[in-house]
Amino acid sequence: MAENPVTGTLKLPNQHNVFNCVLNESQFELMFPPQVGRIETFGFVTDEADWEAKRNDPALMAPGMPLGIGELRKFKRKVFVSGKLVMPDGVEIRHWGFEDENGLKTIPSSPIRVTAGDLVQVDLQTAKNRHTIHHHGIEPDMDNDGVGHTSFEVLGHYIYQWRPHLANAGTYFYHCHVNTTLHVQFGLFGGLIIDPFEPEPKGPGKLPFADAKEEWRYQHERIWVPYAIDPRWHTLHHLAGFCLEDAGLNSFDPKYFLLGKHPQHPDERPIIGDAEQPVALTMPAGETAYLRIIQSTYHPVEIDFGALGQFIEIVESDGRPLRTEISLTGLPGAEVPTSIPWNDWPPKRITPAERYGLVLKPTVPGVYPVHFTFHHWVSNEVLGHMNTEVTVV
Amino acid sequence: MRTRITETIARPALLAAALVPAAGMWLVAVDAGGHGSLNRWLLVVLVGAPAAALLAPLAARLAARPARREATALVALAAAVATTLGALAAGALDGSGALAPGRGLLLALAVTVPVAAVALAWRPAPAAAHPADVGASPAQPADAAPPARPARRAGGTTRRGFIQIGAAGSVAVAGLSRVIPAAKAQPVPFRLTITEGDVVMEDGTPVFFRGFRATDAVKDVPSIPGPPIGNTGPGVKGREIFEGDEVQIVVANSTPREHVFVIDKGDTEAPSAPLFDPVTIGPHETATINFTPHEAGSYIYRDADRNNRLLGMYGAFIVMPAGGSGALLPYRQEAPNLPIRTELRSQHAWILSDVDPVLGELARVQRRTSKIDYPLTKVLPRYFLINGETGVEATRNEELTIPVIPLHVEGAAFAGVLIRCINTGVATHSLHWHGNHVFIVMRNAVPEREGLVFEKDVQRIEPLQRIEVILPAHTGFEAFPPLNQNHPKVKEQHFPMHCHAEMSQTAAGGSYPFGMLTDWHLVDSEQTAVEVRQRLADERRDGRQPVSADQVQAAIDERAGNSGPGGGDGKSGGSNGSGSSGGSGDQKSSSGKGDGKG
Repeated sequence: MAENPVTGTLKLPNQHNVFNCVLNESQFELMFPPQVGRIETFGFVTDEADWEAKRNDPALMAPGMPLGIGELRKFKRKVFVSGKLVMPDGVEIRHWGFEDENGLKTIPSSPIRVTAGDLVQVDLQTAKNRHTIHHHGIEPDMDNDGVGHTSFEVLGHYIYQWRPHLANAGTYFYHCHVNTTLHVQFGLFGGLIIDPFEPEPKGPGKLPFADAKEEWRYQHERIWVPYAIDPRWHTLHHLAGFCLEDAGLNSFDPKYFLLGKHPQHPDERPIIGDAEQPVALTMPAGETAYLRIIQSTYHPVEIDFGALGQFIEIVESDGRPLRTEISLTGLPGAEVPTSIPWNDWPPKRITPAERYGLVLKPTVPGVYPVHFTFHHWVSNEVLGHMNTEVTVV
Repeated sequence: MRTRITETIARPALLAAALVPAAGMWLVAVDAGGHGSLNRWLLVVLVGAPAAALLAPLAARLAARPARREATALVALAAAVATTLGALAAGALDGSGALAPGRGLLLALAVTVPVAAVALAWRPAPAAAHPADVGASPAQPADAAPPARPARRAGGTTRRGFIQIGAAGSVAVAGLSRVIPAAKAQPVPFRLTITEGDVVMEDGTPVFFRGFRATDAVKDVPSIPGPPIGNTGPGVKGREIFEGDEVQIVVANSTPREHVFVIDKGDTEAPSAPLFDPVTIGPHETATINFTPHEAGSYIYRDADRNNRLLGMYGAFIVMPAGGSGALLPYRQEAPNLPIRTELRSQHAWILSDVDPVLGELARVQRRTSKIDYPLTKVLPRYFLINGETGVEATRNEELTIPVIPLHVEGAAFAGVLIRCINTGVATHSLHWHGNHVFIVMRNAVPEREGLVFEKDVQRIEPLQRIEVILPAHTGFEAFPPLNQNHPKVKEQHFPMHCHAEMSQTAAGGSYPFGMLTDWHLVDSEQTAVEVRQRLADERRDGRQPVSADQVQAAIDERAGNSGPGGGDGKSGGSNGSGSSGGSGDQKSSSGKGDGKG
């Protein structure tokens, strides 16, 4: 693969004319946000004993949170840049990611899965370069939101701390928010699932969120992460495009189309997945599956469920249930969860960073193909697609 | 219409008439050599001044919409011609012999041109044509009498044209925007002029635009986006338009080509539900468009051609619901519309646009071509704007773009902010709010149906789509420790909003995050809101100061010196690993903003 001439110029760090940019103060502050090497998280919960005290402290409860619930959940996410993914045509794509607490390095990075009410601590370790973690859709204070210009970038180590509210179980994701355009495409993202707090389940399986209808309780689950790779971007330097340099980051031209780490093969075979990232689903008729879709790339994706669409209802999007009324307090009021049949939802398009939670209750056995099609964000041309399938037995 | 007469006809006429005595004095002094000069001068003035007063408005009509320079020339010419006529008449009457008309005209011009230039230029002009400067002045209706209203307490006092029209009666205090429909207003025209010219982008690149400007703008450059028609927010407020109001838009075309003006309810390139039949405006012609909008919502006025729109020919057209008893709500609260139970605190319009400079260059050399041949498959936007600005300016623009919202209190009279997201561009954007989810309440001037609410942190918005959302401004419920009075930063929380189709976060192929990005601020009280707005206004002003090259270079070196290609471990980048790590040792100078140690 040809080396990008832009990246070549960065080999010599003392080459001062690499970025010949003239900036005003506003531009400088946005481009060079504050950075931390290692700072203490405000109100950091140090250990289990500390958490036991704090979770029973009324002064530390967000509105609507009961005392005494939730576990202390610690995660480690260490940036690696050595990932390699082989495409069906043999091309090796370099990627980055967050290595998890068990040493697993994959793409997307290992999901973070917690229960509403838990205290979540995500320890970001960045080695030599600046990164952050933005827990996308979570609503913490701004220092734990992972955005450079509203807080700081991390060069070293920072522990993000937040606590998912009982009302906000659902489908999220997390990603680096430094030079996001490049870093997310490079692989610095992963799924984030918040299960509802349900100490004593009332039935077999899980609820998608706290006040979900009992009939949405699911026994099967899939997390589908549409992702696409522009091989050119994966040759760029981590600072590509920095400071008025034209790295072509306004042109995203993907050549490979994936569900998670699994690329679509040119022979159109459905993506099955593996134990780490299962994709295709086999389930008995009459049972319920919850399909979580996390759009992790930059062009709109259209989903065609075909005949399976008649068994699907949308119940959640972006970590919030569909509801009957607006509640401007941010917490559920009189309104109740509702749903819309997939076939009655005209867009069938999912935009970058959007998530949907779909309840699937098939009654007719069969093999149902599912197609994902990427459309160019300007021309609407079809760029590529992925296939998988749901087998109902 | 009195103001209009005063502004457009009387002012040049009076000026031209006033120029005649001065020019006449010069003419008489030079020409008549002193004999009978007072009588002769009086004759010249007597004939010349009325002639000038008549000629000046006629001359003003020679140009479709004279900007200041053209107006100067036309007034001076009218006065000079009138003076020469006066001199000719005086010569004939007192029998002292005819003067040469050509020489007389030149002599008169020598006086009228400089005087007219000084007289018409007394208003201070802004120094540079930044898109925001021209973008913010609304398409000013003619009877722009400054209303008696409380002064804006913070932030709203920059050089931006800050015109609030009293006809519809609206209150703007510290970003609070309530609307009170008054008695039905006469259709006062909104005046737009189609023009073209360069606008400088964030990286210093001038890009050629076709666009609209307010007809009375002081500079003849396109406003990006076009001047807003209707209420687009607290910072800039034109006369509000309510359902059922008669609206008149006068569009002057100052270009040598035809344009088609359209406002459509639908979101297709070919209008599907236009508010009036699309109007073709020939080169140097003016069209007067009368219509009555019946459905509240956000609309786009634009050229019917996609490439002309991509070149900058778009602006917002906002219609408020009738019968709202003064409450700020986006649509009528009646079945089957999704009910909004609490009045909203304020409203903003976020006009999204994409810029492809290559198309601009084609337009620069094809001035007479109405429709430039440039297929969608070639379009590669290079700049991505909110209200004509990129992230840098847009994160400071508290007047126009950035909500600064006091925290929602249970039972408060107002809750949340209405944001009208208006995609005038050609790309499908993906707006992502940090800090709060938003409620989708309206799409393409159609209220959402009751019984089904989407609460989103990402909203897809396709070209020509308009989507109204409510940003509720509640506390972040996932903060731990919670954002209560014990939290050190409860006074002000600060979150971004950006497009997640991440190509849009760049300018000129890089420079993240100089793209479609802005911010919102969640504050603990009205008082803090005032302070934050003032701070943002100050930062916006001070932010234009250049940063020294050494400081920029040091910051770059610090980041570039961390590692070579490959992003950190020095292995995947190949042969450069040792070079980069060798360099990192002496590059770890601190930027002074953090401890800088890895």
